[in-house]
Amino acid sequence: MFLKSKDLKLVNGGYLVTKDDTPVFNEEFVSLQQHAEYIITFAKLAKGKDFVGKPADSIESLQTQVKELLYSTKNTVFIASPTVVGRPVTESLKLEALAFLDFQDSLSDTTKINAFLQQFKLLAEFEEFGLFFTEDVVKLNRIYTMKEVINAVTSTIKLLN
Amino acid sequence: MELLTSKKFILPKVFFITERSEIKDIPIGIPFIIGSLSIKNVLIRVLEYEVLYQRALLSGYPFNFKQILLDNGYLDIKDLDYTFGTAPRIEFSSENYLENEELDLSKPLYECNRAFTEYVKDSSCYVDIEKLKQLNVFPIWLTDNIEKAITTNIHNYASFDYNLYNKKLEGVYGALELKSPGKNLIIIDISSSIPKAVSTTCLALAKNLSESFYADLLITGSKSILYHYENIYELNVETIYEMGMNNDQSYFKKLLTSEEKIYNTAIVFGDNDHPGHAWSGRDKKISDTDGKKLCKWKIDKLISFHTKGTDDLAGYSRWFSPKQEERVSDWVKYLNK
Repeated sequence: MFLKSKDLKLVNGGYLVTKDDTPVFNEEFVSLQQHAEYIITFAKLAKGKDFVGKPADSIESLQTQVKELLYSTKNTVFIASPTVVGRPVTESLKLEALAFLDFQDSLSDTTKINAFLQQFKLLAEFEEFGLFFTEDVVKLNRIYTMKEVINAVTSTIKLLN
Repeated sequence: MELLTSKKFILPKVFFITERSEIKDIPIGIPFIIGSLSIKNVLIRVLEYEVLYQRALLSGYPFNFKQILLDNGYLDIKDLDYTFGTAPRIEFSSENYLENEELDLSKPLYECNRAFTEYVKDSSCYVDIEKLKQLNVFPIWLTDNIEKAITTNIHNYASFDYNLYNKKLEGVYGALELKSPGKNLIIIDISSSIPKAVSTTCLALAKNLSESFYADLLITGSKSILYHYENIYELNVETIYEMGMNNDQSYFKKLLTSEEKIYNTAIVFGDNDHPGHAWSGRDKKISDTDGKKLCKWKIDKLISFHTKGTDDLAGYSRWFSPKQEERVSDWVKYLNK
């Protein structure tokens, strides 16, 4: 039978059924839902995790800082230094270069996200048009949407292999 | 154009381009390397080594770089001992061979077109890329600070050519008198006395150096081949060792004596082997004084990269009479000491 997304629901602890409670099954759809569940859970748990860490502060630097603050003698300024000459051309070239790098990063992420999401084509088609299901019994924890999958993949693309 | 990335760890941001025309697509200041697509993996390896080396230096402790390479999964590294006048024979498997590639183990490796990819694995020494960057002749990259690299490149870009020749815009700007900017010259000795790690690193970066430094490229082995800047795309470093790894006098002499050439700066990579020696039966011994008299190439400034230090000039620069001379020290780190 051909079913659209609004025709499916989970009942009695996760049985996939139609509106009139007929149990249904589509192997690829079920497998993609399980895969989506993994990715969405992964993204949820990855939130806030620091995989890089930060370099430890140096006790020697702290000691030097304290000594400089307490014991260094500073010259009295009688005449103010001239204002530093601005370098707008260099600055604008630098900003252009950094913007280019940001763009390349985003482009690279977008390409990777799109490539990764290709495996969920069937799920997108199911939401847009519907899919053929056979009568059989299967249990799922939830029915995940493409939007949830896209959000999870977007937030964790740098971690997903 | 693509960003070079490694599966092992994060590399400095360096774009890889294969065509001169692609330079226009990259904003001024962004680090890039020009090279053949076929050696992309070699360039990634060069960058990976640099990252590891810089990290090790930062630690402030003595380190064994070869062990660091092994610890980071470079299990294919090899100690390629080099002997004067002979090319090493290296045992290597037929694994990863292309189906149509002929594998003839009876020949010395340099006669096989896998020589370059095998020599890259030499771990007898490491070329300190920082020394090359300090020449300010190509856009630099830094392992930890892209912003600083960009600023440096912008400054170098403006001061690099006093004629303000702008390759990106293909024009000459700023000079009152229109004249062609002076060309430069890079000489790379690939003979067997040069450690393979040195010659392969120089070759991997050869196109980049030539393109960025507006330089002709002269490669010397058993022959000397001159690649003009305009035809640098003809250089195929993967087959270059097939010319043989002896030294040369006759081809080199013919090049330097047949036509007058004027170069701003010559960067010469080499060791004590020089064209004055009678390398083949048809050669005669030529003194440096006679070599200088024969040489029709004029060089303003010479930068010598000698593999063993600064006491001598790189051999293939001995026939030039530069107005200025600079000897770069400590650019080859010997790892078997």
